[in-house]
Amino acid sequence: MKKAVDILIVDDEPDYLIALSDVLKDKGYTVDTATDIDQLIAKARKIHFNVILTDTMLPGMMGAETFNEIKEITPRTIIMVMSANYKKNMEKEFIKAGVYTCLLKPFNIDKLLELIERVKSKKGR
Amino acid sequence: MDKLYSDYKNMVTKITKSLSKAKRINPALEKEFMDISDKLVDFTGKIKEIEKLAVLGKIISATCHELRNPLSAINTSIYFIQSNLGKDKPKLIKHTDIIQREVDSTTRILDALFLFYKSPEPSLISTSVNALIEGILSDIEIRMPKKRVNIRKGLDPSIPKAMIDIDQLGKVIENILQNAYDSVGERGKIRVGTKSVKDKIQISISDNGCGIPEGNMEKIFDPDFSTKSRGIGLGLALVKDIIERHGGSVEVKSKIKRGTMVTVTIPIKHSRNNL
Repeated sequence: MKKAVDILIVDDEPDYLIALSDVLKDKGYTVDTATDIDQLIAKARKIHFNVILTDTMLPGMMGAETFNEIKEITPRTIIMVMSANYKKNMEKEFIKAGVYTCLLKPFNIDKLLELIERVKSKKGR
Repeated sequence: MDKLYSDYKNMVTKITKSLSKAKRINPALEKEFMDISDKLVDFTGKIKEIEKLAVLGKIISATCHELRNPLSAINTSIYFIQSNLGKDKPKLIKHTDIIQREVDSTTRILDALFLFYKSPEPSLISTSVNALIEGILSDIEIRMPKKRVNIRKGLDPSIPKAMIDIDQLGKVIENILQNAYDSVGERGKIRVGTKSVKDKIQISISDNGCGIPEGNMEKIFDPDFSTKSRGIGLGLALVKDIIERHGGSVEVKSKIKRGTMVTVTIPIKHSRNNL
């Protein structure tokens, strides 16, 4: 059985990974990190994450195709996209591929925490 | 754009060659050939300007993206520090609040630049304009703590939902409110109202601030016009751009030292015919 970890943060900006990990750990979540899609996929195969919070401009990222793949590996995981490059069409494609929400960086951290709590309290997650 | 320009250059080369050939065959038409040639040179200059603007657009887009990443790290780190600062450190709290406000302000500039240069089509969703305004007002009161401003609401509860892009109309209301806030003094008054007029919704934001000098009225929607010490002057240009994309209109009435009233009118049901 896979070990349950609350959140996987995926970003290739090391400072951002540290900052967001510390905020989420501070709020009591267990957090793991990855810096590219290969790492994300490898970790998602071993560990069950409630939430994957991922950037979109990452090594190995193939857009909607990547999210379909993640959903196949771990269908119950909520995927939240955080991007510094906002495109409405891209957002629509991601949502179709199973992404829960898209956040434009920099976003309001309280709103992110609200979203995480909302999806965590959902049945079966 | 690159392909368009290279196709155009090929076409100009072909026309110039044909002109030279025709001139050799019929020298009497030299003046007409020269006129066409001059016009082509003129037009090429304009195409080059457009090409430069397209490149500038790409640079702006890339810069916005590059700045959002470090801003995001600062925003998150500040949140962490603020969450862990004891109330016994009022000076540190004050300074982290300053950093947070400046990050928010820089983010708003990037949003405005992005929206103005990219001009994305509004993504329309049936929305309560009153609820959108209420949300913005509660955010804005936290964001603008320096002056004690009395913000009064006159939101007509009977107005129907309208087809709007929540983010874009939100930027419009924020921009107008920011201008109103900047123009009033300590204990200034701002009024935000809504009403429906036939098949349209009107949002009016008025203030009792310094007003706009008559000589500036015709320039207020220009993208590079600003009388503020801060800001890039995109505010009202962006407001007009977004509202016109919603098939609506913006009207500004102002009297010096009496105040300003901005009225935004948008159709309840947007259609391409509104544009």
